[in-house]
Amino acid sequence: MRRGALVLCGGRSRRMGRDKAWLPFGGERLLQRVVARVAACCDEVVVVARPGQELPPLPADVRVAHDELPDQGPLGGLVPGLRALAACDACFATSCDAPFVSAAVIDLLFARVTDHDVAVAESGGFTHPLSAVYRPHVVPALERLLAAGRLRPVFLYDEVATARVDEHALRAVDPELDALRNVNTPEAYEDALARAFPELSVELYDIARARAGRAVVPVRADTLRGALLQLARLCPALAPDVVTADGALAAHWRASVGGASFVDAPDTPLAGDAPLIVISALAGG
Amino acid sequence: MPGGYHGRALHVDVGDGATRDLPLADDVLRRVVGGVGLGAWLLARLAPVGVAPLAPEAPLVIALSPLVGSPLTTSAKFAVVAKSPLTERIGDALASDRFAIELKGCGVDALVVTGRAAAWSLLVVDERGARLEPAQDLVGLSSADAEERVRARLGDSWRFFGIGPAGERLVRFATISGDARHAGRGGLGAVLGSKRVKGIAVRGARTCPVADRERVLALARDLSARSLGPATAKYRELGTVTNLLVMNRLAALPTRNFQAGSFEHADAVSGEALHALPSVRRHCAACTIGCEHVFTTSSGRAVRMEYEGLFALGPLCGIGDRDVVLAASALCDDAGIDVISAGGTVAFAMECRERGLLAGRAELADVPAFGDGEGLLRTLRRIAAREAEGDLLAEGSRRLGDLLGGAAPRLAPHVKGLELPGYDPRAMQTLALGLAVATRGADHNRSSAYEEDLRPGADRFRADASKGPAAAAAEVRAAVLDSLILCKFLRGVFADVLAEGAAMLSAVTGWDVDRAEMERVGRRVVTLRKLWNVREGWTRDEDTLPPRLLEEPLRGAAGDGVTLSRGDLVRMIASYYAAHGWTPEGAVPDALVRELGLDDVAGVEKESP
Ligand code: SF4
Repeated sequence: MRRGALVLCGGRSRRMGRDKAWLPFGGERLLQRVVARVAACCDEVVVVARPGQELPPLPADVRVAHDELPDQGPLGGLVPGLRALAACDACFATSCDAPFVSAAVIDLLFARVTDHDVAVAESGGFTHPLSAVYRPHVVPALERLLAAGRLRPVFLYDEVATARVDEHALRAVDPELDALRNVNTPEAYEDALARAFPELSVELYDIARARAGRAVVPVRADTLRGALLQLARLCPALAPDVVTADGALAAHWRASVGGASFVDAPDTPLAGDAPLIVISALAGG
Repeated sequence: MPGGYHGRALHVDVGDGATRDLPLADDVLRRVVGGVGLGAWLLARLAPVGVAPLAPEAPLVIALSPLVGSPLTTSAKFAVVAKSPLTERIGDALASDRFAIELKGCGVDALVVTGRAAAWSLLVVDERGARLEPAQDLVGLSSADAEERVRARLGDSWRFFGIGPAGERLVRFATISGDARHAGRGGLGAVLGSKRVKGIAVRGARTCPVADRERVLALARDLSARSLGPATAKYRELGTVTNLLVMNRLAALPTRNFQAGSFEHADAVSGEALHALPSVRRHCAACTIGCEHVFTTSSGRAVRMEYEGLFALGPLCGIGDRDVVLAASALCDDAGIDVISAGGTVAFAMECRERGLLAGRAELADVPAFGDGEGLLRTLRRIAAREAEGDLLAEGSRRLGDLLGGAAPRLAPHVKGLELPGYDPRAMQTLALGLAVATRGADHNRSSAYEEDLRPGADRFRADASKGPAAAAAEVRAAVLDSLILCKFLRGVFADVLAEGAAMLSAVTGWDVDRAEMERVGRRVVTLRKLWNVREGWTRDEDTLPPRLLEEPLRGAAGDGVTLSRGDLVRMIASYYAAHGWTPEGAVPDALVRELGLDDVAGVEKESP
């Protein structure tokens, strides 16, 4: 089976207050992370974005489709995605705010779609249309529903052959149901970061401290770039003079893990027991 | 005559008031440019071999540069060069003030002072020449008070550069200062004091055209704009005092005479603690950056504070009281003494006391203990007055150590007699090399090699052969900046200081200087100073660090247990000598002397064509 994956990122992120596609998560943006995770177990990936939406850099083989009718809910985003993936036998659909989407759950959904049009995850009495696998040939049905203003996904599931993958089956491969977790609010985002990464302290010195208004900033990260992205997010006054918005140190700034030598490789591993120390390179008198 | 130069130095013998013109040929100026380069060249030409630093015939050189008076930011600087009474090696210090512009307006590129006046005098220099005026009324005044009085007497347009009471009493680390800016290191104030010259007053309006005015203006505009960017933000917003907590975190903050690299009361005496006080920012003349932060103490006194004074009068002496450190700094300013050497020498005496090494020495009975703020202030006053323990401490840590003998000399925090600045060498081992080999003694400004220690990927706790070329290259860049002269705080602004320096020098002088020539100037100036030291008795053994730093591990969280062995240092030094093209013993081969065009100061015969 040729597997497609579509990642919807055109939502308005209203409750988050900023574009979720760009939220830092480890050394990546949320969209980059989700794309990397689905690409690892699917043959082709399409990102569905709003027209004109600015996206973080993506691998060259990832295509971008545009949702010409935004604000139609998940069904609206599925149409351009499935059209772009017409050559696939079935397509996993997710959104860019699902940082824990996993190969195990994706494999399970593909395994269940075999003689159906859709395989959708279900838990706590809800279906999860963006944790589901769709056959591209459901597009006409989707278009009819959209034209009729019938936007709820359940209308589709009633119309086509749908396999519902229940909680019991999901928990067998994802005991905490992490793959179904969305980060819709700042709290959910912080919570997801806390699940994914250890807490570590970033110690700020000289003007970094003065501008941030504090000496220590706790962040959730496991690499240098991840920590700096969080730092830029938590202390906007540090960009661009101390950290750039994309998680690098500005010229004339240095970072040290624990205070011994200085590091600049973005993937330098960090652990919770050694603080990251940010100082000016112009340390002399 | 190339633009930016008058082509002459003025030599004044204050013994008899005689003056003479010293023509400076184009080829000399092109070789050594100005500042420390020109100063070292004049010293080499004029100082008798083996002269005693405080002898009348020992010259004190004030060297300007072709950039002085130009619109290039931070260029109102001058170098003071003499044989240091602290190190008996070359002493070169920089100062920043309108004094540079006025002296250049007198129609000279340098002023050389020799002799000893019959009575305390003021040396007055203007476009007509130089004369001595009686200065008995200025004796005992701080340089700042003397300056006020001289300008009240001569007129506000005059600039003054002079000594405080410590210079009058030949304290070996006395400074010379004007407008609160000190030529701080190496005891040059004692040299001026030995000539019975309280200060030098200058005023002049003679112009000195640059070769390509439009180009200089364009370069100046560009440099000024960049000088206000992120590379100098730290200096503008907080000043160097903010280094204290950084060094503390890196275990590089010398504490209690280098017994530890971090200080438990660092927060209390940090730059951040100082910034809780009212403060104003000041600029040197012709500077767009303005890195000076002047703090107002609870008693209403305005005190300028830099990291070096903060570390030396705070953690180095175990002082964790911000008000004491400010008071001590004010005291050093008024007395006219170098804060680093003052703090270093007192801290050394404090440790000697702690270890019982002062037992039986009545004259040192009042040396305070670490952390005794009142005691520190008292001893600093006595150093300036050369009273009680202050008289011995005024000799600096090396001489005090030698006098005490026994276990004391290994604890004295100096290289070649100059007290160490605020970076524990064990925590920054490229800088350690720079400190060990610097011609004026333990000095961070002649190499700024700490930048290499903070480079990602470099191991600051390890001495290896890669450090030699890094330290040598850093010295070359510093020598260029100090000869041009531009402020070191611009260094982050330049992508390539040698290339940009060449462009500025070309525009000002009309010479066609390229990067390679600029680099050669830097190498020449470094080697010139070395040659002069060799002439004055330098031996290989002088390029080292205090024994305790090579024998005891560093103490302080981030660097606890780190060592720098003598063998490691020797290997780094060998790689440094090689990087400069010197012999394994640190001597300068004749061929290199010729290649660098230093025949005329090294006593090496020119090769016949
Ligand atoms: S940066 Fe500071 S030291 Fe340098 S010239 Fe300007 S005010 Fe003076």
